[in-house]
Amino acid sequence: MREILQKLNQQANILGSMVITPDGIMVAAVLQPELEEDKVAAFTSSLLITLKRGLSQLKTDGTLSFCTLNASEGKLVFFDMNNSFLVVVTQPNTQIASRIVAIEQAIDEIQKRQVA
Amino acid sequence: MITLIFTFLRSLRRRRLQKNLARYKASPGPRECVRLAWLLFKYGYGNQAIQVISNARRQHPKHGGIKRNYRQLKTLQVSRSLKKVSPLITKNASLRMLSKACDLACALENYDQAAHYAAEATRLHPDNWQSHFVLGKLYFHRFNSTRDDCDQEQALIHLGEAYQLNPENCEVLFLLALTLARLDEYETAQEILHYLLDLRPHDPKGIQLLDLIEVNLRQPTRSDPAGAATAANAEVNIVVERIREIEGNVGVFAFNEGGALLGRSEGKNSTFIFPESDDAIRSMLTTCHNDVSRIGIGEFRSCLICGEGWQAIVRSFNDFEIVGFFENYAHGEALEQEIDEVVQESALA
Repeated sequence: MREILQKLNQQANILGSMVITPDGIMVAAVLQPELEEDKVAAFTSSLLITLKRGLSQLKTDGTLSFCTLNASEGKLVFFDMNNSFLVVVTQPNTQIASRIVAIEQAIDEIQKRQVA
Repeated sequence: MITLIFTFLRSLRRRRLQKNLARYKASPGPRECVRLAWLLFKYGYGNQAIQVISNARRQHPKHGGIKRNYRQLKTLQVSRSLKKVSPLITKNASLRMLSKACDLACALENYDQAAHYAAEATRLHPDNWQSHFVLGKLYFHRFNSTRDDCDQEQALIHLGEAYQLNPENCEVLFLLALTLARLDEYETAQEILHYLLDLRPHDPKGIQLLDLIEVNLRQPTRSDPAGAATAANAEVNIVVERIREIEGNVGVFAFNEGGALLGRSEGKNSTFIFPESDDAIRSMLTTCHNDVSRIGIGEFRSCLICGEGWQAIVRSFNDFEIVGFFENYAHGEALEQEIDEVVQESALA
């Protein structure tokens, strides 16, 4: 799975990517050295849990398909892969739309690997 | 001969217009819409051009080209209308004409010209409510760009005069209530809006403004005094209202830095948000703020959350935060930009 993430990072020119379970357990990660895997995983899981809890109270079905978090020095994007999440870290001005093909390709490959 | 040339040109125009209309009907993409709108405008169908580009704007809300063309067409159409009205005023300076000219000049932010028409209206009809209404509107709009408190006070004086002379005009009542709300005179604004709704029970703008004012009137009872102080800022509510007008909006929340609710407005689908949901949204904000700075990507700016058929955006500004819910996939990342534009246009930028 690390190979898929490495390939994604190169193809989409992103800072890092990570696969985590909905409970926040890290499955694989390829992040730049300045980003600490544990901290990103912990933040991601706490955000996902809070978002899901919040959204379930808003008469939505609570399902989260995509989430982008913009900060002053970077961007975190979460993609739902049914039983896990792909987390992508990019530069603040990166347009996700222009990287979506590479990201979807990576999601397909990860899902195939998970089924296998 | 000249008649023949004119007939030929007219048929040429008609054919060109029909061709573009057929293209637009077959595939109403952004390019077709923009082309047809400009052609309609060029041939003198300004209102239809605005209609076409407005529809395109609703269908492609994140298309920058459509937005730009919409603004250009709208400005040109207003200038064209003003050019049409100006010579008529020199012939017959009726109050209706002067009022229209003043509104158009305000829309172009040409406040000197607007002031000229308003002064003329007051000179010719000093005791008419419409003259005061024209002046009131002028000062109200000018305040939006100057932020000069004198404009706000003058708007209140003239709208008050217009109200005294014609207390049953709903436009006067609404603008007077809005001006009072901007001056934090919520209770008086509330009374006026109740009166407006007695006259016109289903007035949508009146109902919306009353909702916002009632939210503000409830604020001082909250435990957070800083929140209560900021809640007095009616500008946040105006921003909330503007965001509510974005296509597909089903609800907007505004919070201050301390997490106190500054304003809330429910969209068309009012069942989407429970009144009890403020806390859930507040905890989402807290997580975004507190934890994002720990992972080395700087300070939190915004968060776009997409589910099945809906989107939510959390956008952080200096003193407040907006949380908006939308039922429209077309917005995507452009939503943040759209909300930024609304805030930039307000006094809160």
